Amino acid sequence: MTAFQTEVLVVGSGAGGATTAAVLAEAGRSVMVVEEGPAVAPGRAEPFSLQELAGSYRHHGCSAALGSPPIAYAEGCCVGGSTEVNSGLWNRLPAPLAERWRAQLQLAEFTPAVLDRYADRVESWLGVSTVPGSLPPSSAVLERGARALGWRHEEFPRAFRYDERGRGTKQTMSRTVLPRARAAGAQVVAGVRVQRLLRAGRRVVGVRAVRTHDDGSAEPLTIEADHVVVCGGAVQTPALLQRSGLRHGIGGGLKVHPTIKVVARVPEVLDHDDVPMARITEFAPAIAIGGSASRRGHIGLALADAGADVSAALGDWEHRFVYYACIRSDAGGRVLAVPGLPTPIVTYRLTDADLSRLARGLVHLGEALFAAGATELHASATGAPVAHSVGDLGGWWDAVDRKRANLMTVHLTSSVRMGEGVDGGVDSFGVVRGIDNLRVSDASILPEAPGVNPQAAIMTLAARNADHLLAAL
Amino acid sequence: MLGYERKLVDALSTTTDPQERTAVLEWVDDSLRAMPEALRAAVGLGSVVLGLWTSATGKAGAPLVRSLERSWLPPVRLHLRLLRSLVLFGDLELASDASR
Repeated sequence: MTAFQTEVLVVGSGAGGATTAAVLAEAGRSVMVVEEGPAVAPGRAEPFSLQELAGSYRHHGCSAALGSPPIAYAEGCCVGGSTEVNSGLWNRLPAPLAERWRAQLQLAEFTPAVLDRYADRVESWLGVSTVPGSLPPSSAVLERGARALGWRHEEFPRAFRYDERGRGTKQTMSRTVLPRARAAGAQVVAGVRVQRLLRAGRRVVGVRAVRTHDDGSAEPLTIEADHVVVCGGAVQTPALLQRSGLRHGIGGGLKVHPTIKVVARVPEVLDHDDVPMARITEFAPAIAIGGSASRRGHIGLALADAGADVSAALGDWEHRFVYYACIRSDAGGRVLAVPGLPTPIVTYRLTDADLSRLARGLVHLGEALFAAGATELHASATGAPVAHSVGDLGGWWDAVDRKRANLMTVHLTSSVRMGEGVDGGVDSFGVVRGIDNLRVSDASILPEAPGVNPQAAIMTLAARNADHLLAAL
Repeated sequence: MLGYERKLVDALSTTTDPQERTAVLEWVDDSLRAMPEALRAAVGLGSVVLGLWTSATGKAGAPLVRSLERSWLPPVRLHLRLLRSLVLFGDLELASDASR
């Protein structure tokens, strides 16, 4: 068995892990980052393509939270984590939400000034911007619809840098923060799955892991560490902690943004190589309306979910695009590591109020798309009527039920919630209760799903938590 | 991939090119292997049960798909939806690749 030693071991290389590693390495600490997935050269696969699904997503993007209805979800699994496969949308934690969390959970050092300071710092590493010039046609559809209805809307800032010709490059962790960490001496090792944490009393002393090499051979490893920071995301992090015998406040309280889709047909030809950058905020934070990946395959999938004749509808696929309504959910879910199974079981139980909110979001999305000039809409609820005008949308209310709604999500959070009360799995800085040198710094620690893409919140908190760890070293 | 799953993929794929059909089959096979173990076990169990039913009824091809679509059992429709999604995405994306 191969053995390594490091001062700080970071498990996971996504938004939380990369940020943690960069802060600690730049402060001169000895850092090793282990990532379960492979190192994938940036730009090797087209965004949202089948090749990307196969190479950079866990389970080929084919996972589901069990429940009624089940909710399909996707996670990145490669060096850089989900930042390699997401849309790069960037939203700081909404200030009213942060203030509510601070007050309710007695979170220390959680004021707007502190959070802004860390957000500024990580944004300076990435480059956060909006599209130079006018919005692409798929984004303009949402903007036009919102404007016609007098609804609030805005352009998403994104973790993108644009060249002088307007071509954008997503600022993923493998392009930005991980190179910073490496330049400061951090070691990043791909293909390492941590099986369990090794403990001695109230401390972790390292991890037991398996490294899979490029030729497929596997090698058992132990990595000794003075401190361990787990950054595997809201599914993998609680599963690792549970496999290591830690269960208090771990795995319950999972939150997602349940999302329902519509395929819209519009008169103009649309762009299909990126997601729309516009969103409708009229009903935020309860409901967000935006656009989704819309390659030919995604449009086909969404049409199939709607029960449409896919072949016929794809005849003019250049005029079609997938838009969505996603909600902040009252419900909760659970991540449960089962002995003998490498993958945890994930459950999520939507409430009736959630379903009602999804139906409302779907109808509002339909209203906006018709106001923008759409001529045909297919909702991803089996048996929902095809809508050709606003008058047809009434039929969608009844279609969003537990048997017919086809839902998905890409944002999973809150499975190891932070807080100073007894319920939280970790304290205000991600320290696991009862284990002084074990921390969590990823989407798991967010007390709730924030209603917006969580990458900015994850990186902001990871930078803050890493500074707190530095003070303890 | 189980025999029934192979049969259903064959019925669902609309690609006529033999090489593309093979590629779609491989994509679905890889995706089923990559699935979380508990989900794969549930899908596999469904495939065994539906495979037995299919053998008894002799249904295949488009009639098989139609009868699954009309099933009054939600898990049967869910099983079909999953495999159809994998096949459809493979069909459409591999065809897009080939057309370039």
